[in-house]
Amino acid sequence: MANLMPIASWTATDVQHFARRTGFGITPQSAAQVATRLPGPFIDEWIDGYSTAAMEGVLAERGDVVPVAFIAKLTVGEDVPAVVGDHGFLITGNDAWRNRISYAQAEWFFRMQYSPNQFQERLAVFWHVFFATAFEKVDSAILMKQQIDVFRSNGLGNFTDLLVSVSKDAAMTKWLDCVQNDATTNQIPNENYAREVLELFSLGVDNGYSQEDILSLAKALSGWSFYVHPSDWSQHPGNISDPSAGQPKRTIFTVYQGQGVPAGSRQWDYLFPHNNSLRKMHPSGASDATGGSATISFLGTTFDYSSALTGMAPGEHVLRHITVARPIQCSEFLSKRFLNHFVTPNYTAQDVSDFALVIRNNNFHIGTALKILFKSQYFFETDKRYCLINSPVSWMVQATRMLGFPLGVANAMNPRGFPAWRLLISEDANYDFNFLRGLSFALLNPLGPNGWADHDAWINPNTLRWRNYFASALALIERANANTMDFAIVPSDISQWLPHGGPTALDIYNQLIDLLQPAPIPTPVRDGWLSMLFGSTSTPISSGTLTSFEPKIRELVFLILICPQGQAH
Amino acid sequence: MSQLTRRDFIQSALAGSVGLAGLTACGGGSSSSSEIGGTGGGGTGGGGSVINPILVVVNIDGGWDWLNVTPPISGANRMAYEAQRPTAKITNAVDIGSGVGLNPDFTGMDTLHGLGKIAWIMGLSMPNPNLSHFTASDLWSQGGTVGSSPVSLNGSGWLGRYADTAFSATNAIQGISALSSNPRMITGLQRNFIPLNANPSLTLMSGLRNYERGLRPPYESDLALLKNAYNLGFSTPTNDVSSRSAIETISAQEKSLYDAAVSLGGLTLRTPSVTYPTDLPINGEFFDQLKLVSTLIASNLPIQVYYCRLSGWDTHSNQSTAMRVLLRALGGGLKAFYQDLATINTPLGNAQDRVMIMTWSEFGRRLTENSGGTDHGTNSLSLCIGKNVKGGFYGEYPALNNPDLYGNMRYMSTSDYRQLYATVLDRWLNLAPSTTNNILGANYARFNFL
Repeated sequence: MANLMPIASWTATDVQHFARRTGFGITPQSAAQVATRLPGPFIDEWIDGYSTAAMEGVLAERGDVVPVAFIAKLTVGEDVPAVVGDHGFLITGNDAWRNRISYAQAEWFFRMQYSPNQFQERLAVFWHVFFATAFEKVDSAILMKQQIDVFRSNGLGNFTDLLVSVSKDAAMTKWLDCVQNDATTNQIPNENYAREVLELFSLGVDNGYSQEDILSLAKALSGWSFYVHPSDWSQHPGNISDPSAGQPKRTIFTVYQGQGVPAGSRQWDYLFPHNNSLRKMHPSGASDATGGSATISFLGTTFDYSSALTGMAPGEHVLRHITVARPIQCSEFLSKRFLNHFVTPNYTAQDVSDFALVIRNNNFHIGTALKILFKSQYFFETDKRYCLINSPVSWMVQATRMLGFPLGVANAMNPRGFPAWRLLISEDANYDFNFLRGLSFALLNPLGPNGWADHDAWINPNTLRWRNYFASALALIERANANTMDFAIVPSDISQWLPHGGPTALDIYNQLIDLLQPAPIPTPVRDGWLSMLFGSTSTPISSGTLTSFEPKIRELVFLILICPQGQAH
Repeated sequence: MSQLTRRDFIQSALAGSVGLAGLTACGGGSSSSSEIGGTGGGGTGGGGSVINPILVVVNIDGGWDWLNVTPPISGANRMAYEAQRPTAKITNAVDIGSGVGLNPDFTGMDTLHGLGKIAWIMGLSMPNPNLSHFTASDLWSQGGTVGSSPVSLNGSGWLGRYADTAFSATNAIQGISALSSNPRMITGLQRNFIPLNANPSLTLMSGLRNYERGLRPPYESDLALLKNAYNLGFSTPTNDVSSRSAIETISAQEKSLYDAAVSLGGLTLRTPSVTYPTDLPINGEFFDQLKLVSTLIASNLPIQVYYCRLSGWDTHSNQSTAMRVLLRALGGGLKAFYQDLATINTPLGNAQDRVMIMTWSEFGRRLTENSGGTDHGTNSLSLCIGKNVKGGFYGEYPALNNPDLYGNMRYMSTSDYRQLYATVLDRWLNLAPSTTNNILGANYARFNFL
């Protein structure tokens, strides 16, 4: 039985556990401050979120250590001309046409590193893994970003509302072929999305539905697509003759039923619709429904899928029936995913059932249910500490948060103190690496709609070597230069890490452990490392001599990050 | 060219181990010695004739529409096919025998078929398919017995269990994944495949940009120290109870990395003796994987199994365009790779003699097309390609005029996908039949392409 009663008090160690799991970690100093507060109100605050205005302000102007003009020097063959200002990854508004996945990835990493609303980003990653959608087919960085924005804005609400929002999301409609799902006269519906809704996005494989239910849901969601208003189009300036060369600044969800749209609007494939009206793909009644009937049976209930209930899109009432008809299956499916991602890979069937009940009792309101989970005795139990293997994304973000510069400091530096995320993860052909792929976590570009498995699926000899390389870039201060500018690709300053200086190698080690928060490292490893690097655990190192020990201190950080304990959280 | 009927196939399967002389293939070209429907009965013979064989697995990921790769060209199957695929049907297939056509976009396969180097294992099926990619992939990967689950097999794949049986404990590099991870099929319980992300060099420690360069000054002079310290980290057991399981998992993988880097560090990609396709609107990852494999074969490392993948076959929409590109990539890539092998000689022999390619895809697609593509279906087609393969048709072409309630091909015990594994394990990888049966949990009839 999972003890889901709330904890009454906590320590700085508990706070760090909480922040690692529901965010990307906080420093020991911050944890000590938070520990003086009651856990309940703090956890509510953390989940509800903080203002991101300062971060948004910086991001609007600048998001990378390297000015974009210098990036252009680094990327031979780059087809994206420099923009006014010093931004490395603009993909929104009038810049939507730039359409580079590496920009969208870099933008997300910047947010994960600097947003004070850590949980929002952490939950967005969770939902991205859950509703995995890939740039590879969507072919739009802006649509991918807008899907992640759906997770940011709706990720804590009612699950059915989230499922509906995702089903109306432009990237998803392209990814799983809803845009080509036609259930009108003589057409065979495309069941791709309907299958994955039941199998991956709500119930789990073979968990309370049949092939007939898939076909019924496919009919209900036929024609779910979008169009682009003429004023919402960002045309590629280098290819103005091709009407489809560009990207939408925003899209408008609609169900294709043959209706008219403003002149110059583009349909989902970005080509102009014939006669300014959209194709009919969702029937208006039995007469134009595939097979001559708009009546379907879905999860044991009969519906007219051609109709629309007030305030809903045609067919939406069918989609909303999943949590009504299969509350236990859906809540248990969600419960497993939440427990495995946030709490433990060693959950029991009873744990799943217990948290599923919480989800149902709170009417599938995710935020309310997660607050109960994150405040619970269960979440803070000793056997939940460091039992999960960190994903490469949260591992990297946690490391850069702990070792990098705070936002204000980074933004005031010259060159800026931001990591060169854009360069690190570039998809440009001229780089022979893409380290997110090497890490088996190509954010925004999963191999399939099943996303990624958590925990031990992150770890193999290949992903570990890429972790080694990233840890090296960060801890061993890898540098690059362009256009006479020399910069650290992941900037850091060791004096920040060690507010107390020494006085011995062991004290240095202990401060770094507090900062980086690995699982407990065996004493023989600690002593062996300190002996190899400093001669012994008691070698004197003071604030005044830190600089002379910098390479060894950085090597120690490198080892902590890449040792087995450094990958657990 | 007469069409091979479902009945013929069943009869040939029933004939089993006594051989099928009366059903000598009409496909396979002049040099083919192929047999049709040749299931060779249970694992009593066993034992391949190739010494130091190499298996290259190619995953056709996403469920390929093999009906449009090798469509029926005559008879009742053709009628059913045309009726269900009014716009998606292939009309220019080339007759390759036994009522089977070959989509001309599958470039290079006509040549290899003509040389008798392709065994087409038709209609491979599983009991009670649920049309899910992930369930089907899991079952194909596990190769377990009917009713087994990932739990009962501890998440291992059939080639992972082969590795547990056949790989030595002291050699870190005997199985290679050309991907960034190890899929379930090659996941074992005791032995590890090394994923190389299509790059032969496995450097343990390096900077991130230009990562083959190693560490920069002043850190490069401490490389030996850092390696020793890393080794100390993963080889020291933890006594922390809550993290132990995770730490042990990571430590084992770090050890694999450490050991493999000793042999693979600094290895550079070999220039192929052939040209891979360059005119396709597709990234070259698949070709890079094959180039990696040929590089490692040429390096004469004791690697027995390689795993590659070409994704993108989930053609719910835009099928005609997507399939054309994918088939050209798959066919062109495999043919180039096969030809390249002929130029690789090591102390263990010529690579073309030692290599067999085995493809697999989790399912075929629905017989009935939707508007622009095809949805998930059942039954698959595998190819085994190699100089020592007896080319021709094996298994059973499904009866397309007798689909199930939802329009899918039916399970055929004469074309069970695990028969393919049983054949590969003891007739290519030289396991004793009893060991093969143990790995698969049952004694499946073998096909006679080896």
